[in-house]
Amino acid sequence: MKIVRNSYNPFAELEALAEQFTKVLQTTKEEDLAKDIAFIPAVNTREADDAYYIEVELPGVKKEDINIDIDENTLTISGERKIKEEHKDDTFYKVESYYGKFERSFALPEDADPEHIEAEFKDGILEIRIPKKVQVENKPKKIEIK
Amino acid sequence: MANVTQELQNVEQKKAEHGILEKAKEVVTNVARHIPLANIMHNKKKDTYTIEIDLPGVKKEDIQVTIEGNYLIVSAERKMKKELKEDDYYLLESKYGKYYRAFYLSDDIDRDSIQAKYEDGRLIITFEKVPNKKRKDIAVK
Repeated sequence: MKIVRNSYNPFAELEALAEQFTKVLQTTKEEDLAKDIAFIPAVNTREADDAYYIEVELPGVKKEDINIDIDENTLTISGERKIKEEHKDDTFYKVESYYGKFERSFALPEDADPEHIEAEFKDGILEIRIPKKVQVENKPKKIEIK
Repeated sequence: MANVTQELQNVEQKKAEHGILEKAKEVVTNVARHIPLANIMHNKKKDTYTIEIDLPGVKKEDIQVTIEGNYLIVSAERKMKKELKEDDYYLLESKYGKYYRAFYLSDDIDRDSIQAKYEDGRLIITFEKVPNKKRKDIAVK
């Protein structure tokens, strides 16, 4: 006769949750936590015949406070929305916009050409154009049988 | 034969229904308004009030600023680029269409001092205090 030790454990779910939590904490890099990100901007993405486009909403951010970086296949847009010098001493009655650092990353498709990326900042919208690599025609080769 | 005419009629009816639906959608989108985010600050030294309204992607000419009674009314329209439609986007987090927001102006705000500019996707409106209510520094002799 077997003794089945499978008694009811009221803390099972909590234990599982605690385990998950430690996992998350272990995998979160310290540098990520130190980044201190205040907000994630809204984004629109689309694809045209010859390029991919990413539009990022950044009203009230100065052009010089925006960075675009490419690391292998990841495109990262980061920066900071700062309070203007002239308003530093103001009393804020209402603040609905987020101030501080922002960051958002995108995985680039395989046919994207990271060497020729262009970016324009206009009316609070950052538009990034990532051209597609020019495809080398890959026609199946027919071999003649002699 | 009867079947064919019947089918044609059905198609016509469907087309008409579709037309009505499209029209209804248009009406609804014209009425529906988004509320833009705003920041309001007061500079005590200069006695100026600033209202910043986030309107990214809106053209300057599509913004209207009016004062009606005790309210400052800002309305705008964010239009999609002519050659594009919503379906062209994979991810569309921005809100297109009409934006509207009204701000109550207290008595100590000088309506005539209003200045508005559009910069980096933000409408910036400044007001001064009514002259006789402005802060005065009095030198102690």
